[in-house]
Amino acid sequence: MKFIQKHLVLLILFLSLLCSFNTNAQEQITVEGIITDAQTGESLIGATVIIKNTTSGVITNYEGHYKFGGLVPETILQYSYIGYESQELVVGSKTIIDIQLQPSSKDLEAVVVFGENQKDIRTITGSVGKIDTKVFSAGTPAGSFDQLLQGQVAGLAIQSSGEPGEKASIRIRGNNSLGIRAKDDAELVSANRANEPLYILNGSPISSDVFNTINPDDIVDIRVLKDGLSTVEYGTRGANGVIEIKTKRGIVGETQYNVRYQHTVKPISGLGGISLMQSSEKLALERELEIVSGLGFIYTPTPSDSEEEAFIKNKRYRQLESTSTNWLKELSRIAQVKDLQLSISGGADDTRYYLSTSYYDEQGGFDNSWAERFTTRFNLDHNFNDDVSVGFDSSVGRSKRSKSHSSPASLIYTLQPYETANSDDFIARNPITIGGQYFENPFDELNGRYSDYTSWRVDLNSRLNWIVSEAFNANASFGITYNDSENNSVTLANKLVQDAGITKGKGAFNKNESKSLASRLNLSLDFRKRFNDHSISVSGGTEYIHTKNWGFGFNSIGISDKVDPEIGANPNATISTAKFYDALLGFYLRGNYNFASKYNVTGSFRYDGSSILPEDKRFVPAWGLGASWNIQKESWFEQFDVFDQFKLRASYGVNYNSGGIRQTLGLPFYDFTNNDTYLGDRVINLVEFWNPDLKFERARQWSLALDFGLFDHSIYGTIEAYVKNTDDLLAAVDIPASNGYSDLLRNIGKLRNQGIELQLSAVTIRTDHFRWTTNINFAYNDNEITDLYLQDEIKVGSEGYFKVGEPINSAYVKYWAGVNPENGMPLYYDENMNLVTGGVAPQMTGFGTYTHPVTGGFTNIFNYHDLEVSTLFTYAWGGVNYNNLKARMIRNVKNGEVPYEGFYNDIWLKPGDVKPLPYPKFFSDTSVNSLFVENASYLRWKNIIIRYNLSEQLKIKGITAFKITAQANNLLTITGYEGIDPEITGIGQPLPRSFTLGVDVTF
Amino acid sequence: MKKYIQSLKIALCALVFLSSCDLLDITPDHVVPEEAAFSDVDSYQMALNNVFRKMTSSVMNMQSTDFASDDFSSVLPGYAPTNYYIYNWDYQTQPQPFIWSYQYQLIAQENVLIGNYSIVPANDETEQKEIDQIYAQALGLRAWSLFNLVQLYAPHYTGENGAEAAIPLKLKLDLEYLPRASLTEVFQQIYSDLEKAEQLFVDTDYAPSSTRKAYQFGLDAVRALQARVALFAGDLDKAKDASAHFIHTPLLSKETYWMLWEDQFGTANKEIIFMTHDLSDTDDADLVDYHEMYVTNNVSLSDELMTSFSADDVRKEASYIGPNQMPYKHIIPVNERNSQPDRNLHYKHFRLAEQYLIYAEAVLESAPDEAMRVLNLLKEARGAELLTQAPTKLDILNERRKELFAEGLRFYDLKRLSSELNIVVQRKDGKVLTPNSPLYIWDIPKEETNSNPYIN
Repeated sequence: MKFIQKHLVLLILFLSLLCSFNTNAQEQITVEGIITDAQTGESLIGATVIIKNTTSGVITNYEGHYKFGGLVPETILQYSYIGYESQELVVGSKTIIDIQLQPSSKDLEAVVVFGENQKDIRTITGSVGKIDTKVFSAGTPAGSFDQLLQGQVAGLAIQSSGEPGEKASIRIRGNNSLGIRAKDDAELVSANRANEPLYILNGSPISSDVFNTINPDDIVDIRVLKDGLSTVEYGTRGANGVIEIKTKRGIVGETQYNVRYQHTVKPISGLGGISLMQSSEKLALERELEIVSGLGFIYTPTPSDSEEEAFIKNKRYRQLESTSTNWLKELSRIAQVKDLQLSISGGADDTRYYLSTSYYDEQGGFDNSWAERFTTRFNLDHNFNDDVSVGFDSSVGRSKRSKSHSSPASLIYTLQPYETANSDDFIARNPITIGGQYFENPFDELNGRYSDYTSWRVDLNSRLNWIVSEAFNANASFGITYNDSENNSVTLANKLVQDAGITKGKGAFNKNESKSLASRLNLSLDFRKRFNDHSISVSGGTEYIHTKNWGFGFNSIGISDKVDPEIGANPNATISTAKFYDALLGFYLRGNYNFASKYNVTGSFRYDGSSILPEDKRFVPAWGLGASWNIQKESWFEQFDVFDQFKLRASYGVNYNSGGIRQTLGLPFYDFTNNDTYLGDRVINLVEFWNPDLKFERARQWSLALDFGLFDHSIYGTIEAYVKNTDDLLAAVDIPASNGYSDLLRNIGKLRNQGIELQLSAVTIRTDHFRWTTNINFAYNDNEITDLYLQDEIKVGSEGYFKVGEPINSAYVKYWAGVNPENGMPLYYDENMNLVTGGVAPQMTGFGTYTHPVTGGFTNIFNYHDLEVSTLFTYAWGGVNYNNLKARMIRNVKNGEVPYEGFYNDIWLKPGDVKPLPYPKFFSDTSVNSLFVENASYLRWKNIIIRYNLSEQLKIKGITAFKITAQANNLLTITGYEGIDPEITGIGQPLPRSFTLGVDVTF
Repeated sequence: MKKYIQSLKIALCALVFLSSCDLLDITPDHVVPEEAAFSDVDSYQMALNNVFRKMTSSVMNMQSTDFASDDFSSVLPGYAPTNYYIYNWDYQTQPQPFIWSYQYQLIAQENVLIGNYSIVPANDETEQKEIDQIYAQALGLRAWSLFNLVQLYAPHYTGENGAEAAIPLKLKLDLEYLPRASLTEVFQQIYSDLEKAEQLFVDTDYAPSSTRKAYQFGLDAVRALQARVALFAGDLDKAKDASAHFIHTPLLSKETYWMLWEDQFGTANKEIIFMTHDLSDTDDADLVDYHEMYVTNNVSLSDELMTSFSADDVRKEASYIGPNQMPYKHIIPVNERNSQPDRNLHYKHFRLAEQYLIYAEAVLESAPDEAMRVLNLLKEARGAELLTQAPTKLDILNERRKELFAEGLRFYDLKRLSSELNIVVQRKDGKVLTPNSPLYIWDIPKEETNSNPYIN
């Protein structure tokens, strides 16, 4: 019912908007449009639009968009931006006027505003993907901005978890390091770390753990550095790609106040493609399988029953059959998300500033699942004089989120459809029969064990820019980032657990605090010189980053229910502390030579030293070379005049990745700080098994790209091919267990990623009142292990498998051959296609890979007068996912768990049955099995966003924009995958569908 | 131009300044490198504490091997299917038994002590003795881990098959890829470690305090292990010599039998040779060992075992498994002496009674009357019917079964004697474990074979 109401509201709103267009027939004209760079198509922020020969004008906002009212058809508008050639235009009858400004100077010449270079000269030869501000300011309210990156840049793969405030997993151009498909969270975290790109927020490196303290609305753009050359400037940290996040700065001009509120409703989601078994089928199944813990079995009359007993049993059985509890619905709630943003931006002459604050409050699908964020940011730029400018940027963010240790999605399989929340003869939840289930009331389980995470982030950055002379320009920047995070884990007292002899039953509380302070100093000197057609720029500098980490925690068992459980301390509490420092020192030099804006050569070098490596191999050099050729500037190319741009570029770079290397991995170290005691005495332990031969992983990457612009700036595109060879791959691989340790981080081999990326943005239709913009991106990545040094295969754990010639992340499973009709036991194939039984069945590859080779997305934006409709689709193709839920259902049904509807018909029950699934009592094997490997290709309709600017209709003085927005997310997924969601590994819930209404006022 | 040079100078100075300080020399101060860690005897002792602490974990005792024996008549997979697989002698299906990994983890911690023995400085002779005794315990413990591994993962050592491949001999902490050593090599290592340990204890006048005695792997434990190893290796003389150290120590009486389990520190209780302190009153022992057996796997005891106890045998109660009844060996029942429901026992790895049994078996052929006398001492102490004529080997085996139930020795006994006594273990579904069956040799798990090129 709620759904329908929601849809109705949307529909009415939409219709009322359409009707309101009629009021547009007035003499005075309002025009709007987007001002972009003619070469790259990037929008220009703060460009001015004035009526010729007057001072009356407007400026473009963070989206490069302007709106100018009160004009007449004869008005001549003048468009200008520093470093670009101005354009003039008569308004006429148009309401949408988009302008592409031509850069006035050669590529290399700086467009310097407040000491900041506005042009990203790395794009001349390197591959830098850019995500516009619109994605963040007009996108879905999100607990963490990384959730918004999906489908935006070719070669950037995002997998989000759907939990409030939880970060997504991000990969640039495939997995560079080996990572194994993660079965549990802890494994996932360690696999993520080694493959994670480097994140830079306004110049300072940040950890993905603080993403949820960043306000997405503050982000002006995100640049994704993909190739080997542009990442050289990050030296030993750049091999997995770099994501640079830049936040908004003030726009000189009249002060703009912006208030935005968005309200989102997330209805209770279903289980994707799965429906759970209903009461009658479940009871019959329990009867059939003699599940002694099930009521179906218990109320089955036996020949020895008296007439009365049989009567009672039958009566009860019928009662149970008629009960049908939807536990997911019982345990879940409709969630609300509130998102409020306030910002002030402005400036005059030599000063500009930006101030923002935001509050975000997201509910998850049940009580203990939520996230909250408060942020504020202030920055100021000032030009002392023509030569010296300073900038200051500060931000504070606090995020808090809570997560229950179980969830409705993990509990529902243990709750019977024939029981209700008030049942007291429940059986499935009886801890004596079912190991590991210690609750009578599922709400106790949902609310009794949870963790909350609070983190504070304070950033302070200052910058000084001094134009020493025409050729020299010196920069200094200094910044500190302070993080303080607190992780509390609460286990409330539980009588059942206590009775089972588990000490945590008395209640437990665990608190971990960690703090880090990173200081960064960057000094650089730029040199630029032009002689006729030749221009040279050289930039060199040094960077020092020092990070201090401290930790403190305590763990106490037995908490009183008379105080807040999070106070937790008691006489038996044990404490733990940690402290470690590390530092990085880098020197870099970058040079560029350009001839007549046609030919361009770039070289980049960085020499990085890291304190985490032993002294003799501390410094590592990273370097890259690139060249570009603007073919459209050649005279012979003039005949192809459909091309505005036709540029070929190539680059090669050598980078390093230190992912996962810790100082304590190099030598045997002992831990004297643990809490463990034996008979009251301390124990010491080896911190971890060591590997004295560890070195940084090295990536060498070739890229070849063609940038083109077509049909008078209506299409911009890039086609790019790359080959990335990584050697000395870092991976935590198995070592023989006879060493007493089972895995170790080692440099194990070589890997090649190669692929093609296509990025296209087109104004498909542009009329005087209508514009249709399309952005398409497509990435194909193929990876292959090319060398494993002395071995030809490496096995990791029970399902990780690396073999020369195979992609990493291949499914390595037993080959399911079906069910033996004689006895209901599972059968498998061996390598020679002979039938074998479970225990001896070999694992093999050939069932696909868990990473999709093809990923991408496409966005369409339609503008008509004041209405904008945009919609995003994302897709991934060619990979498989392991249907863990199905595996669990088949394995645990004998313990009383609830499988999917129709399961009864799929299982073998008596000799002669030919069924797809084995007799559940004979199926406990947890090893991976090709039966559960399913194609996980999908196409997802990610969102549709409708924005309408009402300011024309409202005509409230001073209000320049009054936008209302309506949007819907995760509307539809087309997939052949039979689990919950093709993007989710493990057992979880599908990405939640949500509906948002918002209002956005600028004055 | 001058200006350029000036600014270049500034920049250069800045660079030189930055690089000249030792900006990157950060040594970790939250952890301690090897030399510093073992710079005193106290720290050396802490590393030994670590081994004992590790052994308190329920997965560290050998009890899961009992699932492979004939002591249980039914086992459910539940949520702990590994025990169920062991019950079915299926050592391949995931999750595989963890004994291999865990015993080698212990060996690694023991090798920390053995490998660093030479670097621990002693200030005086007393300290040197302490160091030697810690070292001796580590040697004894490693011998024990190796013994457990060779019992499970290698063929039974008959004395003649010494050339057969056994297990990797992991004798130092460093990363190694080891092939399987031969049975002879493994047993030689075990014997030599034990002899060395015994010698060190004797030379240093080992005299532990009575409260700590049973918690140390001291002289008694080393000799008890010597006796156990020798019995399983068929070296009866050695078994007799080692166990002879114990048979003059009195057993508890039938009336005071409860003390064995409940009064671990009583002066009357001399039956405990080595035990580990239970941690179930801390958060370190989440799932106590009996939990899996009685709750998750819901085992039933073999009828044959239950009926073999005579009416007055006090051990029957201690072994009995039934609804809400857990044997003494794991948990102290609520009774007049104990009101706390979840009190675990300190796990007893070596007991006096086993030494009586080893002695009886070792002298059975040479002095059957002596065997009967010693066996009767035990039987009397337990309230069992006394023997009136010299026992057979089967009599002794049956006594071992009753006395040592759920202590991880039954499967070893079957492996050792099933061929001689023609014992066949049969499961309800028809699966059988015949004498000399390959099922007596457990499969080396994936954790080893995945990455060890010499073992597959």
